[in-house]
Amino acid sequence: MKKHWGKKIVCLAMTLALMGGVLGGCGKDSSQEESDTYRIAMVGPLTGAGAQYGQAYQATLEILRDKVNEEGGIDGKQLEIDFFDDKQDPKETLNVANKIVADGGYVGVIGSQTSSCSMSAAPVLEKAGIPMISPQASHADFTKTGDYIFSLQMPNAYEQRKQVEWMIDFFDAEKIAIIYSNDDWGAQCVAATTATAEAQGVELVAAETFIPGQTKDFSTIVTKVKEADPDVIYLAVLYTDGCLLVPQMKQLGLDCQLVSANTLYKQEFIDVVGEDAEGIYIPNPFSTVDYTEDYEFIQKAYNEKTGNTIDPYVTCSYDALSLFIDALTEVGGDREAIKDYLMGVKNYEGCSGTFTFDEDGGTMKAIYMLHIENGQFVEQPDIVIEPEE
Amino acid sequence: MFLQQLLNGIALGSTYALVAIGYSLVFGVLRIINFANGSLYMLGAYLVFVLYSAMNGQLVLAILFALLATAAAGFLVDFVGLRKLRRDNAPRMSGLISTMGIATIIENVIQIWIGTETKQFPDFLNFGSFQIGSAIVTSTQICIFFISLFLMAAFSLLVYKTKIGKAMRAVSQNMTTARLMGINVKLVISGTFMVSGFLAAVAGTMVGAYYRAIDTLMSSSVGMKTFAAAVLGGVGSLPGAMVGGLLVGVAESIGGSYISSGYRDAIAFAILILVLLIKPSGIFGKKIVEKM
Repeated sequence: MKKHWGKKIVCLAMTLALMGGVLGGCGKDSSQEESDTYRIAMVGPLTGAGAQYGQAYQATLEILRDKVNEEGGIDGKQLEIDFFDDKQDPKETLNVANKIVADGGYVGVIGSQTSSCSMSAAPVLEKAGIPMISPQASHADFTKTGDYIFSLQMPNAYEQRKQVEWMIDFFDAEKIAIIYSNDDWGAQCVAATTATAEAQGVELVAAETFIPGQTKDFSTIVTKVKEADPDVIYLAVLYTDGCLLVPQMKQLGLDCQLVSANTLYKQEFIDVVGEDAEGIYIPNPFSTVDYTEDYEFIQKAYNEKTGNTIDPYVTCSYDALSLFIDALTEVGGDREAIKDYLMGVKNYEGCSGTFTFDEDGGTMKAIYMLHIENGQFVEQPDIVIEPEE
Repeated sequence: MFLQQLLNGIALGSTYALVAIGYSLVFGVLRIINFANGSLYMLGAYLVFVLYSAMNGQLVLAILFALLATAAAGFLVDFVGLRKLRRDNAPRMSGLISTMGIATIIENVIQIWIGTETKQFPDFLNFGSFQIGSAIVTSTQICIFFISLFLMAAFSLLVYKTKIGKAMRAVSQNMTTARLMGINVKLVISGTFMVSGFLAAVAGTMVGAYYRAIDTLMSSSVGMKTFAAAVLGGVGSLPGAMVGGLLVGVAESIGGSYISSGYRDAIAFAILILVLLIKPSGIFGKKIVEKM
């Protein structure tokens, strides 16, 4: 009998806790004007397989938040950021988005990291009228969700076309190949590459794919690409997969010029792959040489805080928060006004490149070129792909 | 290209076989699938990585300690997750779920402890490569093939030719009767789990050296395929695990090469389903009468 009582008490306690949560949530839903803080929500993978990306966001946002608050906040109001974990799982991102909407007190959302995650949250936030800036989502449909949705990445189809055009021209290639990750992003890369190759009259001799994170053995696709004998190979792969793919290429004697998406622009990639990484060209949407004051600040502060060098995850999340801070300074905490402010952003000189939001809320940027030399990412001074008007 | 793809498939299949042997061994004795096997495989590789960095490049010692520690972790999987369930005569399903839970815990602990970045792994089996025709074979591939062959043979001998093996088989047939015959059932089961942890760690270390890198997705990527390999060969049969592993590897490699790289996993699993339709107990499997 005693045992049962214990269970009942636990049940009761849990029910009360749940009710408390619900009621508490309602209570929080007060108007944002009265508070003396501006609240922003970040959503990204803080745990799970993509934790490193979300943690890079969090560290970056914390640095900028602390800086702003130390300098007296925005019009005397402190900046507060809540960090939500979506484990790189679109279902979780949707849950978080609903939580953010239910709370009602956030002036903006930064996140999520992948296109799939960001796209699952976007419709909910759009409907609630909460501005959302994703640092990394590059799927063209993401920003088309609505007026409140922005991305700091160039639309994938555009960026890919510019890169492939450059690659064909620079290496005077007649036969190209692509190895791509079998996900939303990779599918867009291969579609744009196929179209560009056709338009340029170049032969796409191999387009091979694998499951990101799951495929560890690339020997099958490497052997196929080697057989096709391309002049240059484009890699649309995450760095974790690149760490396995690139050495396996060398092991199987595939010594071909490589050009990669800037996902491989990560110090860890060179640390793991070592010599095999030499000679890869990486198009990158911001210059690592000609940089802004903000870039210099975050480069130093991020290194002090985490011991790591900065990468696109840092620069893009930094710009996302900077944009919100600018908007809050200019127009205050009204969400519709923030959206209008963001839509009017032109030639913004951010850490992740100089950009203008297009009508959908995507960005156009110039593309710079990195080359891996002696274990370093070295920017090529005379290669810049200018953005299209 | 065919020869190269065949050799690629055999090397890949050997890595599957290494892990599948661990699955089969536990299944042979306890008749449950130990889902924590994949995470022990990851734990083994990460322990080598950590110890190797901590002991200033004492590779042999690092591997030795890592293998022993993973064997201990294998023991803990049983001690923490399964022993009480057995005592309470819980349904088999509970044990299965319990091992899944432990797998998640091990993986998350590694993610938090070491981080989710890909880590460089010592390339200690690389003594160069040579060519057969136009195909390239590396020393690491050869080592992996022969080590998995050796382990398969050694543990088959243990199970079928020694007294300990006889005890293991007795436990597998009927735990209560085995206990009545004076067999220390607890010891046999613990031993089996330790051996499976040891095997998983060997596999993780070899695969880490083969790809020269380890990451936190290595356990989930190996889970499905090796499980398929064990089932294909006949769960519980060690030679079956070896053959199943090689078949899955070669099917993936050749199918991916001549049909489509996007469908390589689908091809491997299609073959699995075909074999099971024809011979439900797997290639080397015996028909098992379920007694609860």
